[in-house]
Amino acid sequence: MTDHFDIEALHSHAEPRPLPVGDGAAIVILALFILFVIAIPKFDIAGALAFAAFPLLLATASGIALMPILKRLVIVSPFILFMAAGNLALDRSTVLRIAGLGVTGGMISASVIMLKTVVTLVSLLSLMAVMPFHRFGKALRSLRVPEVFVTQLLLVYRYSFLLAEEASMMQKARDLRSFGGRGKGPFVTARLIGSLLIRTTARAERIYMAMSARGFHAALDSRPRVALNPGDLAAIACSAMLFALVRYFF
Amino acid sequence: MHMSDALLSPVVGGTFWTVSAGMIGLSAKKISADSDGSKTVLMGVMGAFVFAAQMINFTIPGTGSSGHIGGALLLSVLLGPRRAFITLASVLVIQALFFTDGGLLALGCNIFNMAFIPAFIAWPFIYRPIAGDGSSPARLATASIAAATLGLLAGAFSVVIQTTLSGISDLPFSIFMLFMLPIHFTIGIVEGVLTWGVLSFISKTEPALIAPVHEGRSSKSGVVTAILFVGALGIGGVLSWFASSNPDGLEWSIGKVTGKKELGSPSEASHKFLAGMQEKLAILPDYDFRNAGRTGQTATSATASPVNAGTSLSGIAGSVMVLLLAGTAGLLLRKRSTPSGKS
Amino acid sequence: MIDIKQLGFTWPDGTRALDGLSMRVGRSESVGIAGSNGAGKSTLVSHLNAWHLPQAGSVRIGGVVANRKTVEEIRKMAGVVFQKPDDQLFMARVYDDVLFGPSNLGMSEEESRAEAGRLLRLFGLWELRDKPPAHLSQGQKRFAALAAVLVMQPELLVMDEPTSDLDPRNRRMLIGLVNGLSTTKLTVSHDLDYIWETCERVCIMNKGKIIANGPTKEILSDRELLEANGLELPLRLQGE
Repeated sequence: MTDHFDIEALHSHAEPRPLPVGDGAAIVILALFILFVIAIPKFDIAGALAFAAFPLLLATASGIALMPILKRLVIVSPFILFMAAGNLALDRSTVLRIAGLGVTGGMISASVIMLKTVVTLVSLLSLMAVMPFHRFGKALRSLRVPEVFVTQLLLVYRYSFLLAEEASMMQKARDLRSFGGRGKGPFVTARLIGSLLIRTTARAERIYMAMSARGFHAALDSRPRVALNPGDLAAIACSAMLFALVRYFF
Repeated sequence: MHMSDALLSPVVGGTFWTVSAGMIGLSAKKISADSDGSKTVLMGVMGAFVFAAQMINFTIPGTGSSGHIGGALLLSVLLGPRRAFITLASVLVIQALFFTDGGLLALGCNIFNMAFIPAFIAWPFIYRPIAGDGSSPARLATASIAAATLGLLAGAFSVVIQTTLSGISDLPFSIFMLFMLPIHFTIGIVEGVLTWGVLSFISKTEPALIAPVHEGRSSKSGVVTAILFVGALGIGGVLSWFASSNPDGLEWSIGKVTGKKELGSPSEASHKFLAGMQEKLAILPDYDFRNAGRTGQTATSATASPVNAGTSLSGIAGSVMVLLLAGTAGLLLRKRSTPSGKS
Repeated sequence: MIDIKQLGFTWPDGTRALDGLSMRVGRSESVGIAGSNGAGKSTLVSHLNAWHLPQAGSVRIGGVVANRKTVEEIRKMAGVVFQKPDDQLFMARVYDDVLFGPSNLGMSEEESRAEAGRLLRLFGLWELRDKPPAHLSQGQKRFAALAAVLVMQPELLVMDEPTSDLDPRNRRMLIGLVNGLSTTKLTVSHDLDYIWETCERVCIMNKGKIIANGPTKEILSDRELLEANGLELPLRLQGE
């Protein structure tokens, strides 16, 4: 979790743009892509590299700044690093020699793990960078995600930053009055969280008041959902076939 | 601990995704039948609250290390299991999409481990019976600590199962467990203490927030299914204790890299392609295709084992699929037969 | 337009917020409500769009008596802009927020978009329509919240502390905009100078009751009256 909580920072890396396929189709294609990448066998570096071509191509073609996105990944989950390192340490049988140096199975599987991670996360981030959240919400609706859940995602997105700022101010206020580690224990923190919670429920009440004043019933978006059109479905099918072909050849 | 895409196999990832998506759909349906708009807003803002609360750090006295609250148990107490589940799932989705915590496929596992387990297993079966009506501080503390700890341990166990079943990591089941359990035990205790602290604070200042929740009864069917599922996986997990890293896949890839024709005839190649496609489509892989066509090749890896990864995976995947279909069918049938007034 | 008789309301914790309050506002009038903190102003506001129903007395908006059945009808007539814009801009982008009300009301898509576009341009927010509300300045948020209410074409516009977080220029812009609206207006504020410039009549509120009711310039020049009710002369009159 980054210290500076900014859910919007991702959108600064790319201009929001309409995609050649519908937003809903784009999400499905991304999911298919990730599934294919995950299905690459444990030691298949060639396959992993081949699929890396996709995000690279799309990013360069659409002008997404790749470097900042890659930088985000540097703060990669320590868990995956640990697991990759685990493979490195546990599988030490040499399976090939290149120029006199032994390459172990562990090296290969660890590399594949890291490659898969980078490829899947970069593609995910790239799509999210060009798709503003309101379009993401509409896309989910078109994919028949339950309305309750879409509304939920929209509200969490909208208010995370605001509440995070409040929390950060409360923590600062606390830190300025704690010395030598005293005043930062779990019980003081519990009270801080409790205060934030009470503020949060009061805010929820006010938001509901404002929503009701403008006719809110159950969903944030009462317009009929836009379903996937035949063009979208064709695009999804073609992408699936393309991925299958790449998988076959590499 | 967030699960990662790269450590998952499509079968395991897809299975958990299906379960999580199914539970979200079911919970959403039940929630939308309850037409209280204020709770909808509350869920949304509480999701945002989770992010905010996780930013507040505390130091553990004596150790100097810092930590933050998770919030799953707290939400379950305040919102009830279904709403807490939806809220926690939404937080995990946003974390995956914007903060690369986990991945798109791993979301299914993460939602199961960190939303489903706390809301539908730890809260109803551990917290609620012990806490009672919440009036006794001792019971409240015990309930919070026990539910948080056991919930986190169950989640950790689930991660180990998911990783081991996928077979990408070489970490043996036993060592992984040895590593995960003590850590999550400690985190659990701290989480329980924090949760208890927040709940006592609120019970003194705004007691109305901790209202009794009447949702327990009807989520039983979902919970039963989940328990059966976890049980099936537990058995599967024990079975995969014997799983080895797949030497055949390694040979095949090495063969390609070095140019040696390990693959042999084109028909074998296309056979591999089709078999591979079947696996990727994540429908039941009904035979152990990795060894089909091979004549008694011995494993070259030092971790050769009596049980073949392919068959045990197929077997587990099979039981999971059947279980899921049965469970879903059962729930659907039950929903059709009961009038919507009952909940 | 507004007809309130002997309105009473007590909060669950026992605080009596409204105590036999009576007032009337005619169509196209612009009336201000001034009072110190805790006078009950916000509680009064919440009765004007039937968020709270009267515990005693009656509230009539546009001739319709406020009760459980008429809640929606009243909300179509009375548009309320609350104190904190962040609580009213809850969608992922500003444009969606402005369209929220009309789409719930069942206004046609073209009509909603046309009216939304007109208001956003009027408030200088058209270029910002695709931005998430978090990216707007405080003043911009205020205008966005106002647009989101006006787009529903309410017959009554109620505003709760509209100038509390505006800088002088935005405040001036708001005054100009509000004076250009012909709907019936009720403004709750302790910015007495704002009331001076936008309201022809003002009520002084204290402890849940209306203490005084009369032409703005008369009431707001009465130093004794104001000070007795926790207020001061408007800045423009001070130093005389």
